[in-house]
Amino acid sequence: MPMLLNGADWATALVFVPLLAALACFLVPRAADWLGVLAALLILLATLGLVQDLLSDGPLRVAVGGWGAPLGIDLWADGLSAALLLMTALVGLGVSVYAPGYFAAHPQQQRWFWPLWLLLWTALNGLYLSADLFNLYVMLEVLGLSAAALTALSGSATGLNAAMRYLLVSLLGSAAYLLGVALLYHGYGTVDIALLGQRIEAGAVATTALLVMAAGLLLKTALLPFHFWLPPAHGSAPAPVSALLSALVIKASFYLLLRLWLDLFSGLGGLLAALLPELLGLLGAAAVLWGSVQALRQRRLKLLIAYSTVAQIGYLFLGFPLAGVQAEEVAWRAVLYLALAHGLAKAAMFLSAGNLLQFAGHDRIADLDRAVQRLPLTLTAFVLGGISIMGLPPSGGFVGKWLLLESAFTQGRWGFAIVVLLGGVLAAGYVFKVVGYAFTPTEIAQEGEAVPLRMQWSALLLAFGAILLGFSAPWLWPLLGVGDPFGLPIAEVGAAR
Amino acid sequence: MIPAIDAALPPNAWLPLLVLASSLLPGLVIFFLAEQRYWTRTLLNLAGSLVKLLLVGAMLWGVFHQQQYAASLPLLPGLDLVLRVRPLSLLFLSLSAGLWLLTTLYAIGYLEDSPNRSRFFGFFSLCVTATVGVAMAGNLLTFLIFFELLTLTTYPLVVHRGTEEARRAGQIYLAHTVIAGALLLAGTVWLYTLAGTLTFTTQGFVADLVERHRWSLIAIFVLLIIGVGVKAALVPLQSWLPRAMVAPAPVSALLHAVAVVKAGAFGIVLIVYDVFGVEVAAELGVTKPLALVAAFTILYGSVRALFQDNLKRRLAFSTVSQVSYIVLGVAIVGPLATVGGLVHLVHQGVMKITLFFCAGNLAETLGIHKVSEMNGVGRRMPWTMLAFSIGVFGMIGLPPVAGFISKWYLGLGGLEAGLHWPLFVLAGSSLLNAAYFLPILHRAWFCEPPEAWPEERDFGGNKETAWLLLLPPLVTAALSLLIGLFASMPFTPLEWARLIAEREFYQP
Amino acid sequence: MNVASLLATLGQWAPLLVLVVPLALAGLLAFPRLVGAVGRLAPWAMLPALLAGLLAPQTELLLPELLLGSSLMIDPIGRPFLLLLGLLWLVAGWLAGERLRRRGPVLLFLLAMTGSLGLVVAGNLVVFLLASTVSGYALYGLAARQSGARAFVVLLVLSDLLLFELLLLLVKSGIGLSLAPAVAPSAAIGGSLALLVLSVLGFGAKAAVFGLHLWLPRMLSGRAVELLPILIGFVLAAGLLPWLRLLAPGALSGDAATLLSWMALTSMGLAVILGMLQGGQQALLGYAISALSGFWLLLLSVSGGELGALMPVAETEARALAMALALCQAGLALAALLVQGARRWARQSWLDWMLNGFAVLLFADALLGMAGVLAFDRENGFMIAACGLFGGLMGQLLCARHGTETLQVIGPSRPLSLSLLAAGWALLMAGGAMIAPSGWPLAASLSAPVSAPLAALALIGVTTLSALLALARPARA
Repeated sequence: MPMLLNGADWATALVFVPLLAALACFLVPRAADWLGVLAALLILLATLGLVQDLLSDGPLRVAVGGWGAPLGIDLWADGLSAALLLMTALVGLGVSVYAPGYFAAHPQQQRWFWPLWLLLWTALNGLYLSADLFNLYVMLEVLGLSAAALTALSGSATGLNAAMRYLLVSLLGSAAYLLGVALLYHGYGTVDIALLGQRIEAGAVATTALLVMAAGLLLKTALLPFHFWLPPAHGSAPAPVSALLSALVIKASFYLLLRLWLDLFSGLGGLLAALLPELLGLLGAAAVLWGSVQALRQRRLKLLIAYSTVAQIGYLFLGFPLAGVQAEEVAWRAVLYLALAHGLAKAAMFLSAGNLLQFAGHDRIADLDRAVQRLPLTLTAFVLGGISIMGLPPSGGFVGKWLLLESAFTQGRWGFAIVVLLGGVLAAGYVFKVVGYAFTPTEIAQEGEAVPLRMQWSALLLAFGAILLGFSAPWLWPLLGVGDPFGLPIAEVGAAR
Repeated sequence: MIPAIDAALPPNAWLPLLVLASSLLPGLVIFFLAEQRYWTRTLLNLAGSLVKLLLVGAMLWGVFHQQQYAASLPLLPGLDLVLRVRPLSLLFLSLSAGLWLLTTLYAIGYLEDSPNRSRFFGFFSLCVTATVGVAMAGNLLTFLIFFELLTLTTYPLVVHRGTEEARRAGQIYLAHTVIAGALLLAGTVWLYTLAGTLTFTTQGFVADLVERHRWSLIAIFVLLIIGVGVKAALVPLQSWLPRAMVAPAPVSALLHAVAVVKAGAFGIVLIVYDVFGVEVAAELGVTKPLALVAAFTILYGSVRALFQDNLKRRLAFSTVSQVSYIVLGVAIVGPLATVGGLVHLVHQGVMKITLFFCAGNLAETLGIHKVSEMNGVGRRMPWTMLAFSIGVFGMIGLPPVAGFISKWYLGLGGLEAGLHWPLFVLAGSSLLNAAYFLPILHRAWFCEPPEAWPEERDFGGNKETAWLLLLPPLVTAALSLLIGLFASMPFTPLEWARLIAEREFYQP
Repeated sequence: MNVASLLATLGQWAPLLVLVVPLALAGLLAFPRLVGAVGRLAPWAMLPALLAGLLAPQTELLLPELLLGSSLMIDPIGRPFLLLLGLLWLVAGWLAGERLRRRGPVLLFLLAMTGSLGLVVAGNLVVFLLASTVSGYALYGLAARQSGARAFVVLLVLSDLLLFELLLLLVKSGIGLSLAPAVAPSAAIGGSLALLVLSVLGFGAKAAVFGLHLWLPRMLSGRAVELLPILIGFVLAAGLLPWLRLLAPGALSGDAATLLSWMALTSMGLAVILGMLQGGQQALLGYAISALSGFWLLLLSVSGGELGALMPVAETEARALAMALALCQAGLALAALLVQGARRWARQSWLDWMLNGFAVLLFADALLGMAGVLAFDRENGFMIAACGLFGGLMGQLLCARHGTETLQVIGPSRPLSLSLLAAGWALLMAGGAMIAPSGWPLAASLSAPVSAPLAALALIGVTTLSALLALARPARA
């Protein structure tokens, strides 16, 4: 079928559709529900169009408004960004379908939810598509602000407190990143990633930039020991917001870090470039273990899921040492799989938690009281999401862990292999702790409120997505390779020429 | 997403997929059925299991005539989800398909009027799907996937009752199986990085690696065996099994005879024969320790069973012991012992499921849970106890019940390999089996019944229990008698096991 | 198809028919309405066996699909056993009478019957093991409420284990499992100590050889009269018959044979002595059977000893031996029956008298059979001693037939004096072994001059004692 629109149009649409929808929702709050869902559908359509285009024509670079780099705003899409865009679109659609049900009980929150969420989505899409460091900064900032505002939606004291902390962290992180951008611009005279990749060379400027940017982004990604802000923020936000924060927002800063590392810094050589991946790997391993153990100890469902996020972020950083300074595709693909699977699964889990919360009015794990009988769809969603988180087959998480283990074993990095496995076991521990209590009745039978089907099904379908991701290799594998995002860094390619 | 079938495959790729679908689809539909739609659910269940049985029968015939059945679905570049039906798969496949039908019938009778039946039968069907997946796995990755699925689908069955005890049993079950799963995964990936393939091959696919990676291979073997050994309840990994007895009787029957424990044992067979190759395994020196572990498990399970008053727990420890016969047969390197181990896979299933059905009948009809309450129960429930007695004789290994055949081949295999200790292990186990089973029979048949049974249910008329509860144990008892008595007929488990040993493991 | 070919076919399938009829009757028990009719027919289910024993030609029926490949046969050795068992089961059914009207007992009855007939027609050891399991456990079921049942089942399990190992070893050493006379694995068993021990102990437990006899007297002492012929049949078919088949004359030779005969004689003597100590007739009968088993073992071992090696036993002689043994057993069994029958028919004096006369006839027959055995090997000291011992016991048994229910003669001190006697016997036998030359041609030293006086001594001692006991018994109250 000949496409009416080409890849460039899809990419542009990805940024502008959510932006316009955000405006529309802000102006016409009464129609926000269906506007939001419509926008989500459109975005998904655009993403699919973009993916289709990438698969057939290779990576894409669009100069918006006709000015090319280094002056104008360039959009850039390759396999890495497309995969994340797709995940964002799916999770976004799920949450958009879910949100009206959830906020029916909280109309004043709904008033603000839609504009903020669509703005957040704009920032996410923009971030994945931006080709220059400054644009990335802008998107990062918009992302942080809208995320902090969404966190505050619940309006409770703890919620506000957590949101405030989150805001500060977010600002600090962005500031550090901006400092790095400034240094690089000062040193090499461009903010375009591709150009910078060609110009950058080892030295004090690059090293300092790497350090501050990494620090800022790690803070935003909540890698241990910067995770302190995450559990309260994710635990106290409204359920759809928690899902967004856990599944999407964190991935954005991780993506940025990954992109910078792959395209700018990994080819630099030198002590720092050799040590940083190891350090990140160690922190990741520590995060996996610490987060999982903390999750096991939680008594509140949402906090449990939030700590699980801390652990899952750790996995993403195991890719750095396993990929090493040389590019090793398998480890990065593993990380991507894990990131995608985590996005879908964690969204499903948070949405399920929202259902349980709405149903029972609390989220104490020990008092789930036969939730399996009473909310079977929700529990199924939770468990299916959990399966992917644990890395049990067949799921996206399983494929990710398999690849990660494969690269760990190939390189003889036994320690990381053990961490990966142990993390899976601990994850099974905390997921099934919840499930076990969902089977048993409490002493005093509890009354539950009805949960709309759309809330249950959106969670379930997201979880199915996480499972089906395990079977997606036939098209996802080539997609991830589009534009060779994990290939040799551009700098090195330039030097080789 | 529709499984992408390679168009180049011959048409019989559909048969394995249909076998999977024949329980998967009914299971998924059943989840969404309302509780009171008894007939729809029953119809779905029975139609699914009958179709599966027919399909397996067709493949049995086909494989006998050297037909090939395989289907694959790409999972990762270079690694596919492969379903391949071989004689060995069919041994396990026909066991699970046949016993699934009976267990379904039994469960329909057993769970009459109890809550959450749709959930139960849904997971029940999924569990069987996972089991047949394990049976048809064409490579280690596929095996791993279905093996883990089995863990996941049995968990809801174990905790089905929803009591605190059930929850704890479920946690322990998971703790064991998940850790084991992690080790299995580790071993599998490690093996993959060394060998570059995971496809089950008749003489193993690691022979080339022995020179360079000897110790790695041994470590991998240990990882894999622990990974599947938990489900096979090898000592010291067995402690989940007796606890899982809180589950309803059909589940226990399924866990012990068909699905979980058998999948573990089947996994050991696969690992020794199709991954490492029995000669390579013997050369690596790993089969002897495995045989010793199996021998110890056989005796340990029997000794523990002696001291259990709870009937189902006694049966559970008996399972621990009996399943290791299979492992022993595998680990004594030699064709006859292999035949013994393989055939016991089926024999133990048929016999043990009989015992569990009967235990369930006692509990359901008279409220009897303990051996000490069984005085004179043979008079009240003669048919049930007749089936039970046949099962017991089979467990002891008396002719003509099937257990005799397995024991015969195991003993002969041991002698063939020049080992005498397996004889003593078998003799000791038989003795202990007699010591903990025969007193039950004595009580049931020859002691005076009590004034009143603990909790008697009336099924109307002079019936000893509901016919849906009575029929399955009678069928399995008759089956275990017949496959023992007519062991040398074509298409009996014994003949099939011989065929496997000839065609696959000990090719000239 | 003419009558002759029909009969030929029937004859060919006879061994299977023997088993199928009682089994089919047992199958009919699945219908509750038929229980009464089946109970009435049950004693007659042995008719095919009787007919086959009388009429069927020698035949071997191969059933390769069954178990691990099976065969059934009717051969000269089995034929008298078939007849005898048929009669025993008929009598047992008759004695059981009303007790066979309930489903459980009649099922066990029929199963035990099938099993014990199967023991006779078994053509290889696997079928034999199967039949012995079926009859053994069914018998346990019939006798479960008797006092010796526990000992019986324990010995049954142990014996089955030993036999299982025996079978495995036979297969392993390439001998095979066939029981057909032409290929019977007797020579191999004679040649290997392990096989010999396994077969002596494995079958010995079922033959109630002294030391493994504990179950028999106790089970016989129970109230169920019909158990008597059944147990006798079991000992006969499950214990003695396989010995006859496996340890065929000429199989054993040398030291093993001598040692075995020595042990057999020892155990037989102990059984006789302890038998005389017994208070009840049934217990006495139990010991008599145990002694008979010892006797049987002795005959088998002796026939293959030094003399057997010098003078190879011809086929006809072996058959004669078998017949003789069977007759002995027949006499003992029926005599025992009559002993027990008295309780039932005591009031009907004409029947009582008739049976008494019959018993005397049978006893005479048994003695004749024994004389035949003696003629076969009269030089052997073992043989003479054994015959003497056995004759004493038989006399004792017949006397008991006319006596009261208990032997009161020795009173409370009885255990002491008779224990002394038993100890004396044991010492004597041990002494015999000690005075043998220290090298190991024990055979030569035991079989001829040294043992003859010993045996004579034993003979005299025991006969005197039994006569004394018989005479001193108080008259019927």
